[in-house]
Amino acid sequence: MALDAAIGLAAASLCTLVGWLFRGRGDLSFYIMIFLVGSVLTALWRGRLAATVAAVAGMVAFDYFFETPAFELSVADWPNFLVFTGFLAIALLVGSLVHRLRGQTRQAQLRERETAALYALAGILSAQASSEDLRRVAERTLSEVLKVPVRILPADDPREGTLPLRGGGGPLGALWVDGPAPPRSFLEACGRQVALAMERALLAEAAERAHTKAELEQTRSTLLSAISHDFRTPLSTIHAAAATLAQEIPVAGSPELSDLARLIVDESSRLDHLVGNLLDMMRLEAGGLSPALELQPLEEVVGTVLTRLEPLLGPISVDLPDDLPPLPLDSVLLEQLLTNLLENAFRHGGGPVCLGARARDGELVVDVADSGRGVPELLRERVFEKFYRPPGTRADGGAGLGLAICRAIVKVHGGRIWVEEVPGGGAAFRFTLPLESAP
Amino acid sequence: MSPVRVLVVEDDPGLQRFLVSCLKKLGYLVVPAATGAEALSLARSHNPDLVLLDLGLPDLDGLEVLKGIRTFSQVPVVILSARNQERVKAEALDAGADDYLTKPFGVVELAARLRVAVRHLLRAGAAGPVVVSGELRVDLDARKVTRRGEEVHLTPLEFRLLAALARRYGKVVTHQQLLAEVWGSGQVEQTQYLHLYMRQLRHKIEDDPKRPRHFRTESGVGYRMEVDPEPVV
Repeated sequence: MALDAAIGLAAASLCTLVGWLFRGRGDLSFYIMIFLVGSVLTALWRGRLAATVAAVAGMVAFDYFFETPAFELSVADWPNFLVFTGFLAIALLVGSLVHRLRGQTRQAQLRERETAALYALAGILSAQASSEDLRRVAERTLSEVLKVPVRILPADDPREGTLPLRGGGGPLGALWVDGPAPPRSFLEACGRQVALAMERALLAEAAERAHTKAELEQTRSTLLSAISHDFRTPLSTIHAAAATLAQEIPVAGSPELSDLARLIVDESSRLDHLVGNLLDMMRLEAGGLSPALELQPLEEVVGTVLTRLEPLLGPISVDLPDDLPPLPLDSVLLEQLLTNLLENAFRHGGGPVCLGARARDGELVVDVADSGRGVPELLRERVFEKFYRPPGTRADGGAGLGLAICRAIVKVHGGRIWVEEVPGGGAAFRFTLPLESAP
Repeated sequence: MSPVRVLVVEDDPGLQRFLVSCLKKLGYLVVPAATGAEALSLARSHNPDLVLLDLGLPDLDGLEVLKGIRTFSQVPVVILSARNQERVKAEALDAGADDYLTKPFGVVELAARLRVAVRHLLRAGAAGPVVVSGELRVDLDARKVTRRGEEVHLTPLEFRLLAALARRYGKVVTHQQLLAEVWGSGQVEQTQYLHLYMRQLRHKIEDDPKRPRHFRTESGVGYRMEVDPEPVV
């Protein structure tokens, strides 16, 4: 401001000096022209304020130094007064026009710079492979272009005064300018570029992830079928051959050898059980398991399990109301679930073991209760974790997968599983199954 | 009677050896095959009385081999399969297999399955008019069922279900086969009826329906009427 005014004054002084050098050699219009040129140049260089100061000061100087009578601030007659007024009006007008022209030129230059900056930004952004690189590079480039620190915040950042970045799929983040805000339209244009590039990078990353996942699934299923065939076939052969030996040897009359043969049978069957559990876990974890739900009575599955397990484990008391409605379930999976729970009850809990069920609030609640030590409260969540074995478990136990498999099976049926304390001692593993199929 | 000829189709050499020695010991004449193609050609040239077929073969799918054999022969086929293959088992049974064994199996189980298959073979598939299983007696012609000498009253549908299992007693009958036979071919998707009628049948026939001895459930596949259920302890 002050500088512009001083320059205006200096311009008027310079014009006066130039006029003074040519003193007496020209008429009034000659000196007027000098002042007019001076004030237009000032307008071009410094804008409206300087030009106005130059014009007003120039008029005063002209009156004082060049208009007769010289060295006094008076106007001799009407024509001279018109000349003064005309000079002032033209000087101000030209100053204003020049000022506006200058503004437009500057605008055009700015816009050109902005466009160039946007192009450069788009180029830099599209070269970024990951969304994380992109975010960092966009922050740096925008800070350089806008000359204030710019940050890209996550979409859920609660800060006010941010510019949201939106993509076709929803909010991607927000631009936050730490300082005087640059022109809104330019900032928005930058924001659009960043949003576009971010969306592209995110989509590319999602595609990459999907690809990796598909490859992983492929590997997993190859491994799965390899293990199930290549591991289990020899195992089942060992088991069957040993079982035949165990049957035949007593006939030959050698109890020690018979014991050894039984040992091979038991251990190979344990190993087969472990491999089986591992495979089931992998299958359930792969998420590819969709239960084959069929509307059927629970009694049938319970019947299959009891027929198979009671000769091996001992008597199981059953409390199954006759009026239980049929419900959607995968009998193979449910059989495995009940088998795991009952085997656990005998192995870790101890008899008597009860299996009960009742319908309640649109679901069936099934429980397997033992009369053992129960499960300490702290471990009631952990026992369902993969590979978790409670402290003090005998070494001939499983790999800690049984209950994890149970939880996965209940989950694919849309139910819940948990463990409770039985009043009077013991653990009750309870699970629910919806009575209606999920829509 | 000449020894029964069994074609054993198994690609795993260990299991193949075990099966061959076991079957020889049980008095069968064994023809081994390691691939599906070999199995098909041996089934034609040797005209076996029984086929033991593993579903997982290196060249052809076991199901393909089964269908191939069925184009020229009605020889009883017993399938060997892994656990968790219920759908494939049911598919194989529906495609004409007679029974299955799930690995790992013992020699007792193997012998029992083959015995049933041979028995059905000797009777040319048709069970006699009277099937006796423990305390249960089913007269298929007279449509009469007695349990410890007392008559059991069954509805016509229940009897048809019982008869379908009794005609093939000892062998597994798939859900699809039972539905088609008892309800008609339009109803093969309605497995819930089957489960419910099976439950009713068990309540009328079994001593303890929660511990069935006569009608075993083969989860995900079908039902089997036991030949000689162990007596109640």
